Amino acid sequence: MKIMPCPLNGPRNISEFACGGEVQDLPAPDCSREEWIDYVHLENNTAGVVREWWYHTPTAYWFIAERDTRTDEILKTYPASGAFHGGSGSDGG
Amino acid sequence: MTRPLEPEALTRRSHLYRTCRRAGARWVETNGFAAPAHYGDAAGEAAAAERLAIADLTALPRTGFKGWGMAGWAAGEGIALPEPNRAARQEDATLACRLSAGELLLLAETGNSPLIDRLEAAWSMDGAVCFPVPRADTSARIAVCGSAAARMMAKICGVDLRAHRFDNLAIAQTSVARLNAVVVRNDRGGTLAFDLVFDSASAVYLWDCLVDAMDEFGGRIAGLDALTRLRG
Amino acid sequence: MAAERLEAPAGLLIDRARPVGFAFEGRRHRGFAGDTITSALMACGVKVISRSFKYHRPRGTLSAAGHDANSLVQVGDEPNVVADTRRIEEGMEIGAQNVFGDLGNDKGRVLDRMGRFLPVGFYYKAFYRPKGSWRRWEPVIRRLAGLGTVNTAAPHGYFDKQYLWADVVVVGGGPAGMAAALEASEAGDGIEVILVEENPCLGGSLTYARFDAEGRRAARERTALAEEVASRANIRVLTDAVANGWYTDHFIPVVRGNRMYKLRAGAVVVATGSYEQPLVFRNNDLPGVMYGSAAQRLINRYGVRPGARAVVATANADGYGAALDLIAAGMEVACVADLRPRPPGHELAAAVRDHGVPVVAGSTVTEALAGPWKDSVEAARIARITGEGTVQARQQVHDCDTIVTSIGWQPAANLIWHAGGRTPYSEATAMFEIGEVPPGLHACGSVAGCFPIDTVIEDGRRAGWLAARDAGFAGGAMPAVRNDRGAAGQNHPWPMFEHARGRDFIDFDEDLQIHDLRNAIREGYAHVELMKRFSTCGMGPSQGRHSWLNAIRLNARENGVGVNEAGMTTQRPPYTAEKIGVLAGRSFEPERMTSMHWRHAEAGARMMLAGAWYRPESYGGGEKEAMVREESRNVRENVGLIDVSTLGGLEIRGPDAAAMMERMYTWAYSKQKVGRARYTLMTDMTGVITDDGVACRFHENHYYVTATTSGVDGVYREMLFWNAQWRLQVDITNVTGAFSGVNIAGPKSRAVLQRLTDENLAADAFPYMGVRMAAVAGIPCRLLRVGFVGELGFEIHCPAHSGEALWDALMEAGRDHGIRPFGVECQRLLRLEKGHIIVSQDTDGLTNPLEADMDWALAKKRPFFIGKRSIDIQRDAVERRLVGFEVEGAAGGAVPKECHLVIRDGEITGRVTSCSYSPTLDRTIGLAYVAPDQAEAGTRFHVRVNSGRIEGRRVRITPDNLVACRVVDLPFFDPDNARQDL
Repeated sequence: MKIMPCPLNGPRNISEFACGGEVQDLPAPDCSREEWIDYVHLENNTAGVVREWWYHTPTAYWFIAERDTRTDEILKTYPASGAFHGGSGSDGG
Repeated sequence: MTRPLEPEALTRRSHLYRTCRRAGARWVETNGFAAPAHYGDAAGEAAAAERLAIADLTALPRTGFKGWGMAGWAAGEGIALPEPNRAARQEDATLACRLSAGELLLLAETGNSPLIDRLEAAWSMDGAVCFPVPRADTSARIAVCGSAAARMMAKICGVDLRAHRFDNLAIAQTSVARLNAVVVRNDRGGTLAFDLVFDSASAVYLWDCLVDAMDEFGGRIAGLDALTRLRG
Repeated sequence: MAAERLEAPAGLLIDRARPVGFAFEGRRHRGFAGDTITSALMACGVKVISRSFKYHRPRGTLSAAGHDANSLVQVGDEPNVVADTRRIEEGMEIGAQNVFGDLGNDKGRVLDRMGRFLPVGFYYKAFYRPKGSWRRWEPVIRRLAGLGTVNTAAPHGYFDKQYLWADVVVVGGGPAGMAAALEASEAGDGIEVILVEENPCLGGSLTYARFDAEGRRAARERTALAEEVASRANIRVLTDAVANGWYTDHFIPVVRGNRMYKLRAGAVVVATGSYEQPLVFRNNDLPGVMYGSAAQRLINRYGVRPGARAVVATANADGYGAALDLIAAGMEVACVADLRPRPPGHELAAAVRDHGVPVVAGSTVTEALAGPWKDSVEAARIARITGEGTVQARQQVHDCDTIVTSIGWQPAANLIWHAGGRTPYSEATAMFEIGEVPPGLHACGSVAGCFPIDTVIEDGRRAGWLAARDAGFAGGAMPAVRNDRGAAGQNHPWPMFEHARGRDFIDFDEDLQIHDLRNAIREGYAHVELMKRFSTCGMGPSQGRHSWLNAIRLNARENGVGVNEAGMTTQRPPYTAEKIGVLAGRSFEPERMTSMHWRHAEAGARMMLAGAWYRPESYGGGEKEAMVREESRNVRENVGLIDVSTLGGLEIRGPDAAAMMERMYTWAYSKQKVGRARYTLMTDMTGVITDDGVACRFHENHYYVTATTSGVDGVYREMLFWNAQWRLQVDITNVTGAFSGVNIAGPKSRAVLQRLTDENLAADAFPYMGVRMAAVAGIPCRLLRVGFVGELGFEIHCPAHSGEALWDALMEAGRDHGIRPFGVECQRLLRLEKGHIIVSQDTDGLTNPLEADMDWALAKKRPFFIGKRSIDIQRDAVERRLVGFEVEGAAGGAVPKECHLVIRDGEITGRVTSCSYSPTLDRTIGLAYVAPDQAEAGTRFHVRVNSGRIEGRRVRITPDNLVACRVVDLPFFDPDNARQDL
C-alpha cells in the first residue's frame, strides 16, 4: 500500500485518498467549442511529472500533488491555497 | 419511590441506547439524554478500563465551528487554539480539537460544558466568518480506554496510535473499520484512551466492530462513571 | 518409538513427552507434538504422501520444506495443505489428494504408462477440435489432474487483520536475519525491529545444516544469536509467520494462522535464505529421493531417520554435511558421487572419507531404480560425467533406499522480485545473484549468495545497519564483511542428465520432464514467458521454487543464448498460497441506520439497503404489492409518514453562498426569497445530471440544500473541489447525519402536524414551497412544505438524536387520523404518479436535462454554471427524450419492467426506466426514453417485455412479446397540483 503525504494529515495509506485528475484551468466562458470539448473529454495522459488533485476522504480535504507518472513517485504535495488565490475560502470541508 | 430513568422518557436518544440497555445499563440524565452511568459494576468497569473498555459518550455535549475566519473568531472568544490535528484542554476541561486551519471541534468531558454553551450563544449569523457544525447530532462519540487500546485499534485503523508514536491530545482523522472518524487521544488519568467521533448513523455498526475487536483482549463495556473514576 | 525415530538431541522441534494421534487415509498413526505431517508419517515408515498431478506417480517429500507440491494433502475440509510444514494435531484426519481409490493403489497410475501419449500442450491440441469438445472433456481432465477437494459447505472460519509498524523489518530468522535484527536494534534510541520467521523457531539453516565436522557449530551459533535476540526489548519476533509479499513503501502482509498482519516498515532486510535445487535424473521423483537439506531437516528438526542406506550425489560441501548427518543418524552411506571432476578439499569431505565412505569424483546418479511397487528406491545407478548433461555408458549400481542430492541453491528472492529488484545470473557461480534493488531493501545471507557461516553473520549485521540507516537511525561505523562470500562452488552449472526413457523431472508439481520443455521450445514457445505458459513449468503450487533455475538454463541452451539473455519471468505476490479467508479478513462493510430504524423494525418493515443505509421498503408481513397498494391508498386518503433521514443535507453559508449555488446548480438562487425552497438540479462538466434536491433559504447567506441519499457525498466533494479553486467566501458543511427527517403527507397531514407545533400551518401562512424553523413536539425542527408524492405534506428535519422521539410524537398525534408509515416502494409509486424523476433511476450516466425534459430548470441568462456549456453544445442534438407513458388496454396485462426496450421496426429507440401499476389511476404507467419523434403526447410505441434475441442491432420480435404504450403528458395524477397546494 502506497503512502501519500497529506499536507494536512501527514503520511497516510493511499486508500484514504481519491485522485481528482490533473490540475487544469477552466477555459474562459467564451472559448471555442473545440477548446471546451478538449477540456471536458480529453486527458493529457502525460508521461512525466504531473500536478494532480487529491482528496483526503476522512477530512474532505483537497490538495495538490506533484507525481511522476513514469515511476509513480510523489515528489511533493501542498495545499490548494498555494496554487489558487483570491477570496479567503478554506481548503477543508 | 421514583421509577428508574429510561432513555425513551427523554427526547434525545443515542443510537446506541438499545445496545447499552441490552448490556444492562443504569441510566443517568445527561445533557438531555439518558446516558449509561454504569452496568451494575462501576468499580469493576473502571478496573477493566485500565486494560480495555469502550463507553458510549454520545450524550456528552459537543459542537463545532468551521469557516475561513474560525481561528480569529475562536481566539477572540478566548479559546486556546492548538495546531491542526492537535487538541487543547480549555479551562472548563472541554477539549478544543483543531481539525484544520478553519475547523474546530469541541468535546465536553462531562454532562455540561460552560464553554460550549457560551460559544453557541455568542455566535451570530450576522457578519459570521465561521459557522456552527451540529456535531452533537452529526456525530456519535465512543471512548476506547485502556493499555490495550492501541493494539486493539490496530485491528481496525491504519494509523499508528501506539502511545509512544501518538502522544496525548494528538488527533488522527482517518478511517476506522472503513468509516471516517476523528480519533483524539484523550487519556483518562494516566490511562491511555482514544475518543472516536464519527457518523452517528453508524454508531451501532462501529460499536459492534469494537466489541468484536476487543474480545481477544478481554475488553468490557463501561459506563460514564468508570471514566470519571479513571480521571480521578 | 518407531524404528525411524532417533534419540535426542536429534529432533529439535518435537516434544517426545507429548504424543499426538492422527490418521492418514483412515489409518491411525502417532507422532509427537511439533512433528509436521511429513515428519510424523516418515517416522512411521510412510514415505508416499501424494500422487503426482498428471501421471499419478507416487511422491514423497523432496524438500521437507514445502518447496514442491509433493507434500500437498487434504486435512478435513481444508485442501492443499502443505504436509512438510503443517504440524500434526490430535485427531487430525489427513487424506491423500488426486487419488482414485487409495494412495497405494491409485487407479490413475495407469496414466504414467500412457505418458508418451500425453505430451506437453496435449490438452490444447487434443481437445481443440471439433468445436465444443473442450467443454465435454474439461470436467474429465479436471478430475484426473487436480488438487484437493473444496467443501463449499465448510463453516467459514474467523479471519482478521491487524496493522503493525516497525522501523526495520527483517524477513527470515536464520543466522543472517538474526544478526541483522541485532545490529538494527542497536542503531539508535527508540528503534523498533520486527523479525518475521516462517518456522516455529528462529535459526533457519542453524536448525538443520552442518557447518563443521563435529556438528556442534550450528547449535552453538543458533543458541547464542537466538538468546541475544530474545533479550532485546525492541525486537519483536513473529514465528510461524509468513511475509507473503512486498508492496509499495515497504508494506508487507504477514500471514500467521488466521490473521494477516499489515506490516509497514521503514526499511526491510530480506534474509530469506535459498531453495535447494533438484538433481535431474531418471526417476528422480521416487519417494526416497530428496535434497540433502530435506534429510537434515528430518533428522535434526524432527529426529526422523529418512531410510537405512543412502547414496549421496553432491556438487558442494553441503552434500558432505548431509552425509555426516545420515551417518550420525545411523544410516549407511553406500557412496558419495561428487559431480565435480576435482572436488576441492573441505573439512566435511575429509570427515566423510574418514568414515570410510567411498567418494567417486566426476560422477552423478543417473537413475533411481524402483522397487517392485514402483513407489520406493531400490538402488541408484552412478556414472562418470563426460560433458554437459552426458555420462558414460558404463554404470555402477548401488543398493539403497534413499538418494540424497545437494547440487546447488536458488535464492529465495521472492520479496526482492516483488519489489522490482534484479537478480542477474552469474556464469561464474551458476547462480542468480542480487543486483539492483529498490531503496530501503537489503538482502543478506544465502539469498544474497553468501554461504560460510561467519560471513553470513557479518553480512546480516551489515544489512541490519543499512536498513536502520534507511529508516533514519544513523548508527556507528558500517560493520565490515569479509570478501569471500563462498558462492563459488555451491551450484553445479548443469545438474540435468536426460535419460533416453525420460522420467527425468524438472518440475515435480506439473510432471514436466526435460524433453517436455525442449519440445515446447521447438514448437515455437521459445521465449521463457511462452515456454512457461505452454508447458506450465513453474505455474504449479511451488511457483518454480525447485524448477525455474533448471528450466531457464535449459531454455538458454536450446536457444543458444546466455541465461541472462533468456530472461526471467515476472514474480508477483503472494510468496506462498494464501487462503481467501485471510485476504477477506473480518470484512468491514459500514452500515447506517436512521434514528427511527428500530421503530420500522417494530412495525414489521421489510428493510432494504440503499447504499450503506437501511430503509423500510414496505411495512407488514403480507404480499408486497398489496402492502404498497394499501400504504399508497392511505397517503392519498388519510395521512402517511415516511422516514427520509437518509436524504443528504448540506449547509451553504457565507456572503458568497448565493454565488456558490448559482455556479453549482443549474437554476437561479440569488433572487430566491428567504423562507422559500427551490428545486435544485446539478449537472457535471459534460452536462449530465448528477443530483437533485431542494434549496431552502433560511437567511440571505444561508442555504440548506438537500441531495439524494447516494449522491450527497459526491455533491459535497464536488463543491469543495470547485471552491478550492474559486475560493469564494462560503463554507460548505455536510450535515446529512445531523438531521433525521420524515415526510408527513396526505390530506390530513396538516391537521396532525398542527397538533404538535405553534407554527401556523395554514395555506396562506405557510404556502407550498415555504420553509420554516419551528419546534415540533418541543424538538427544534426545519419544516419544508414540499410535495414529492403529490399530496399536502411537510418534510420535518430534526436533530438526529431526537428523530425517534419525533417519529413517536407524530404517530401518536396521527393515530385518530389513520396515520400509518409508508415505505420506499410506496414513495416510488406515488412520485411516479406525479411524474417526478429519481436521479440514477430515471437518468443514467449520459442523461442531460434536455433529454429529461428539464429545460425549465436551466438558467438561461447566466453565463456559467457547471455543465452549462456542454448542455448548450448538445441543445441541437438531443437523441432521446424521457416521457411519461401508459400501457394500452385494460390493467392486468403484461407490465413492462425497468430496462425493457422500446422497439420500432426492429430497432431499439429507447428503454423503460420506471413502470408500475397505479391503484389510484387503475392504469399501468411509467417513464421511458424514446426517440425525439416519438415524444409527442398520444404517440404509440412498443415495449418488448419478454426476452428475445438481438442480432446486430435488429431485435427479433414475436407478436406476444410486444406491449403497446402511449405517450401521455406528465403528471399522470392531479395535473393542476390542487392536492399538494391544499
